[in-house]
Order: sequence, then structure tokens, then C-alpha cells
Amino acid sequence: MSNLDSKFINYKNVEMLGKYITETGKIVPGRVSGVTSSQQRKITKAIKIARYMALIPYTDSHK
Amino acid sequence: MQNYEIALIVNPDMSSDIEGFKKEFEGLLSSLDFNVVNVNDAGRRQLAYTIEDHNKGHYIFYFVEGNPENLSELESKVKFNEVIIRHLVLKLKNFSDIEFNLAVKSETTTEKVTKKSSTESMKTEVKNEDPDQKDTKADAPELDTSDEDESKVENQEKEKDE
Repeated sequence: MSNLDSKFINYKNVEMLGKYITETGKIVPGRVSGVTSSQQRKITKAIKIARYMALIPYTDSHK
Repeated sequence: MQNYEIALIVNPDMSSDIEGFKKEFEGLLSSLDFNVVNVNDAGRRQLAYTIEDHNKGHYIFYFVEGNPENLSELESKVKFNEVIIRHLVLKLKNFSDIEFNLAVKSETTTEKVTKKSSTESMKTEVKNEDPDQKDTKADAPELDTSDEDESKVENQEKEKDE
């Protein structure tokens, strides 16, 4: 995870963001994901945008 | 001048006339002095959750540069356009990730391939079973195959739609 390129942190990179959400759709905390805090902030932001655009789910129990 | 990325989810029923929608939307952009730098039509995609009873959406991403003063008018126009089921405008420092395309088309093609392969495997299974069963039960296997043919036609139609 340490060689994560900041250029690839984008809300459209669904495949990459999928590694940083749990099965229930929660964001994996920085202490668990092991990325730098700067990258974790970018990932968190990208996940929240991707959720709004229905690219990844908010939860595993959408009706 | 400011750089923006406009992400739109368009009603999937509009997919057939997506070129018409694009022309209309680009007309709106140019009327508000937005200069379109790049358009990325990512096609129909499964939504992660239903939006206004839609399970699929047609994703289009516009990279534009324009005046921030015109943005509120653009947003209000987009908001009251019922064809657009969700929109997002992002301010960009530069267009460095302009080629960052949503990998949708490759996914759908792989889905199609798997569907086809599954139906083909079904075919071969039926063919293998046919000679034995025709001797004993002449009617039943024919019915099965006719049902399968219908399902194939449906699949093909779906593929055409997509």
C-alpha cells in the first residue's frame, strides 16, 4: 500500500477505492489501511464523492 | 476562468438518444460561456443503489472551463432537468486527470462475454442430452430448447439495447 500513487486517488477509480471500504461499505480507518495520513484524507474524500455518484454503496443494506 | 468537471447521471431510458442529449447540454454550456475541453461518455452502468427507482444510469463526464459567476445558473438548469437524475460539479486545479476514464465499457463487455459463454455452455449441455432424451421423451426436450431460444433472443435484444 505504501507505493500508492497519489495521482490514482480519484473518485472514478472504483477498483482502487474498493480496497479501502469494508464489506459493509464503511471506510477502512487509516490505522488499518496503512497508507499515509495525507493519502488517507484523499481516499476518504474520493470515497465520499464516489458514494454520491452511486459508484460505490453507502451501506450493504440499500433497500 | 476556472476549470470544472461536471459529472452527470442521465436517465438510462435516454441512452438511445444520448447524442441528442449531449448536443442539448453542450448548447447549454456554450450559452453560458463554458468551453468544453473534453467529454467522457462512460455509458450505462449499474448504480450502487437505486436513485429515483433507477437501477442503471448513463454516466457522462464533462471537463469544462468557464466563469464561476455562470455556475449557479448552470446548476439551476441542471437541477430542473428531469432527464439528469444526479449531477456533481467539481472545481479542478488542472486537467491532469482528464484521461481518467471510468472503466465501464470493458466491464460490460466482460459481463456480456460471461453471459454468452454461459448460454453457450447451456446449449452444449442440451445438445449432449438431446439424443438420449429424444429416444425416450420426444416432447419434453423440444420444449426446453424452445424456451432457451426465447431467452437467447431476449439476451440479444438486451445486448442491442446496451
